[in-house]
Amino acid sequence: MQLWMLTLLLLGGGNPAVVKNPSRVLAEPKFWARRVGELNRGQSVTLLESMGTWYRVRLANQQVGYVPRSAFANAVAVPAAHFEGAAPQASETQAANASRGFSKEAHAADIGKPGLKKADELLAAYVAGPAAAGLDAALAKDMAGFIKKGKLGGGQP
Amino acid sequence: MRRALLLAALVSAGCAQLQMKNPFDQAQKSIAAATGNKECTRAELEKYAYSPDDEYWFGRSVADRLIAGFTQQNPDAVYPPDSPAAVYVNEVGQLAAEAAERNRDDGGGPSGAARRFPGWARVDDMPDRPPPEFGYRFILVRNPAPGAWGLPGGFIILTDSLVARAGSEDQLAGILAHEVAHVQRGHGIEVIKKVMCAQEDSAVKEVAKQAGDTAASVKIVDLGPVVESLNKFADRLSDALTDKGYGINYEYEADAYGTRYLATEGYSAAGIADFLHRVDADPAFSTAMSKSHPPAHLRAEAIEKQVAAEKLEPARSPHERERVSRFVKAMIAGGIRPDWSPKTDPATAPLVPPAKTASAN
Repeated sequence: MQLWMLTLLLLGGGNPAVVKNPSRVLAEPKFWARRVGELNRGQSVTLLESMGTWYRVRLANQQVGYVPRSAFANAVAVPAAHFEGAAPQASETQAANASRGFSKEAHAADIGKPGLKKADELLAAYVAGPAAAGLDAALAKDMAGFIKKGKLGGGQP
Repeated sequence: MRRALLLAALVSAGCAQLQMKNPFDQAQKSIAAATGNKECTRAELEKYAYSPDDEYWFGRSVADRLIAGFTQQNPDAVYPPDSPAAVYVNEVGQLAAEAAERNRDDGGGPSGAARRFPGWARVDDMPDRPPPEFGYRFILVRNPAPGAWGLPGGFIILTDSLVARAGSEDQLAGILAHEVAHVQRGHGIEVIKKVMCAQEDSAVKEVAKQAGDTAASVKIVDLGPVVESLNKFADRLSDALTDKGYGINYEYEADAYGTRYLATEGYSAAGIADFLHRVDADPAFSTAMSKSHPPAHLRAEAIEKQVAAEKLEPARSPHERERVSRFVKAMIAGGIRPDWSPKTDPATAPLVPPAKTASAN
């Protein structure tokens, strides 16, 4: 251990650690607590306190918050209760998602229920469709004129 | 149980009529019922925080469920987004969304900031939600039951039979502004926070446990609990919305804010009230809304008092007749026949005679 790290620890300055799984930083050691920051893979933080399944950490910007231990885990396994037979290995992405809350990946798994996948495909057409860019500025101006003057740009109501 | 809820809703609505100065004072009966009557403090509720990303994916999961319900009845229920009716509804809806943004108030409650519009009553002293991460989507579906849902993340679903009951573009804009107000005021998120706080049951605790649990021997961290949680709460909100809606007071609040959005765009501030007068005697509308909304005439009265008190645009704003005409043309182009049949009170009859519309179809 480097002398400066030892000094930091002796002074109660915490232990540096590198994030292995992207995670959110929370205001309390609770899954649904308010999010105060984000951690990406490879980012360094200072571990201030170990609290069961959580760490209290200090970020580079001096922000203090709570991070699940999964952020620093090397490998993960999926609990057998979720699968028939042997539990397959979960990817690091899955591990990361577990601490990110609702996400694209969680939604993708959610629509595995019967009927939902087709419904989401119909919805996706709206997400990517004509509305995707919001209200066109020219049209917005035209409609505002129509509301106030009773005529569209071309003069036709 | 349902009868009790309906009774509670009617009692609450009745109180709103008697104490119109602040219709939001009544308790949130339907939410209280959904949460086992446990009421959490604001501090407790704020432990359950949702980012715009959480909100988007959560709202999308709820929207999936509602759409799946419609397509079960009719596989072709969803209008293609580039169909004329869907495009028109989207244009008017995006204007309502733009108006909502112009009226954004990020102050109050836990924000610690001053309210931008301190005179506008709120059910919960909460800032407006951040704008939907990927904008608003107005999804039009074919269904004989009139209905509309403003979901977290900016997903707004409405049936063509509801659109057909509007009498003008101003009234359609009113319907859409009301739904946008549900989103901007965060009603869906508030309901979920209240349910989660009151029923922090074993599944939620399991999520919390597993998310934090990386004991050296078995590192139990996976997507399963998060998906279960998303699944469960999306089920719960979609069920609650189709059964009880957001609750009486949130409906009044959405009317009040939607009316302000309408006035901002230059539409008649009475757009929502005019629509409610039109459908007050409509049995299909009453049946669809009775479990989730206050009676239409009470809502209309509350809006009319608000329009007078806030000195908003008069009930009949200039050029409304042209907007009625444009609405009818858009409906015909979109294959939706305006439903202006029987039940309308002659005093609030549409500006364009129904007979003319019928012949145009």
